[in-house]
Amino acid sequence: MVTCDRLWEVDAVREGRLSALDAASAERHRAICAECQTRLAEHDALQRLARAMPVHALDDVEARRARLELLRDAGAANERRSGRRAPWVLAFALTASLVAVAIGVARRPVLATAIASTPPAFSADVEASDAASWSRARFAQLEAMTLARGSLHVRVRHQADGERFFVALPDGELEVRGTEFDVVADGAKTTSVRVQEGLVALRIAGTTEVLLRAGDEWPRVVVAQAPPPPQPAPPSPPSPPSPPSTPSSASLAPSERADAYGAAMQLYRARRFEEAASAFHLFAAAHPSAPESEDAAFLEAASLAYAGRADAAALVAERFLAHHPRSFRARDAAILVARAARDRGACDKARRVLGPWLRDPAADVKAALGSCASTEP
Amino acid sequence: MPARPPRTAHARTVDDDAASAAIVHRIAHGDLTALGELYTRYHADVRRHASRVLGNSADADDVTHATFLALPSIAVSFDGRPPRPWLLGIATRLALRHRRGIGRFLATMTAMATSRRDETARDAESEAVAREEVRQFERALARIAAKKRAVFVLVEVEGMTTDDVARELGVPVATVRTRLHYARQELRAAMNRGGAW
Repeated sequence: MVTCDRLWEVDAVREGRLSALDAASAERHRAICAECQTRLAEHDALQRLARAMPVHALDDVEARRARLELLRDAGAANERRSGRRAPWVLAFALTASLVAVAIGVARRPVLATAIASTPPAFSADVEASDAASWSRARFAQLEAMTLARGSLHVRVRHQADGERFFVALPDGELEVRGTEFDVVADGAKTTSVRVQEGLVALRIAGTTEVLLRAGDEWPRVVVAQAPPPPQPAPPSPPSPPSPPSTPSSASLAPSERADAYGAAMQLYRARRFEEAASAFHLFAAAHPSAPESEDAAFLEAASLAYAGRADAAALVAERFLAHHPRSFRARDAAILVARAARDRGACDKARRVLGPWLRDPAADVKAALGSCASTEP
Repeated sequence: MPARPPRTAHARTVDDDAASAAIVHRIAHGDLTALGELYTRYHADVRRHASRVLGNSADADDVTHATFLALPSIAVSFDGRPPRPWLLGIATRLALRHRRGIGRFLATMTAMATSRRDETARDAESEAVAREEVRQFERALARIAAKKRAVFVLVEVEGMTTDDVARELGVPVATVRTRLHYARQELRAAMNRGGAW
């Protein structure tokens, strides 16, 4: 039975609701009041027990899977939101941006820039020539650059679902999905495009769309590597997908690629990870220049990790890092490699592969290093 | 030149909060990469909190996902405050709206059964006693009303003030204090009835 009329002060002190004077008075009272002491001890115990409740934490791979699902769903949601808008709204926004850019270009014929630092909202790093005249804008998931004259070297991070990236040119446009390329214009027309990584769709007015992949140049498209030897016609429809010597994605119908990638994703979402790993492997091998190939290569590693094949996952992740060192998935791939290296006792390798993220390591990087962190020389 | 003094924990927190707030602003501008960054920073905190409010991990996964998925829509209203309590407030509101499906219920039951089997293997008596006290507390916490439970967890576990909780949940401070008062009262009674105290 409660007898102390100052019992309420116990919680008031704990919650910092009393003035210093009143809190001191309450504490003096508590020193001689058994009831208040008991209440304080009980409430401290409740707090201790609440903090001691076990909570199952996600492991690294589960957390990354959840992150991937989140980004996929967020991209889809953005796309739905964009789709719900009246088309003229988007068209107006894009037109307004281009008009604004045009005005800017007219008023400042030369936007001399050595290296444009990338504002957080943009998804590309841009290096422009001194004489380049260019600008850019972003509206929700749509990012548009405009090049009037000069040359740009552009590195675009991989675009999430729903995102689109364009470069408006004097006589056409480029569209990309995570790539690195150079583009040059002379004020009236596009003079050259060269692709270092990924895939670029070039649409010049009055001509058909040209797909340029890593190593290709325009106007005269030159494949950097010798073309693969001609393959004999397959005896039956291609099933399963062919190895790397099949025609590149540039000559395949996008819907065919999308179907193959979608099938692999379905296996992945169904948690049939062994099959998903094989499907992603076949996709990446069959469509090395497809915009989805980077994702496919990473998801092959992730699928193998989920399937419990850590060493195989590490091998694939290592290959991924070699091909896509600047990918935004590089950190996740490095973690897969490091974990396998750590488990083999190859601490040097674990630290080396995580090197770029060790300066201020996040929890998952620390976890990937595990015992190797303490053996650091 | 005198050595630069080490950064204090407070300074780090302020820096982290500022960096996180910048990430939230990028999300508001449609940057999905920023959403991934914020998820990496806070998903464990949000999920742990949701687990405590909801009482199970399966529902907590849904609430965590929903919390971050809601950000592109609501980040425009973010006012630059420390992002962690803001996120916990969103997660709490979603958790209070969450309705447990039968599948989740069964998953919870399975998890409880598994956890009991695992725990029977432990042989340290003192640990078993402590675990029993925590289990009894978990049961007591699960039995109180969700709104009281959420406030109790935000204050006692997350260390938020009643004023902060009121702001994040959009309810009067007096309501928060009332819920907290009754949560403690019911938990005390349950622990006493269960013989733990």
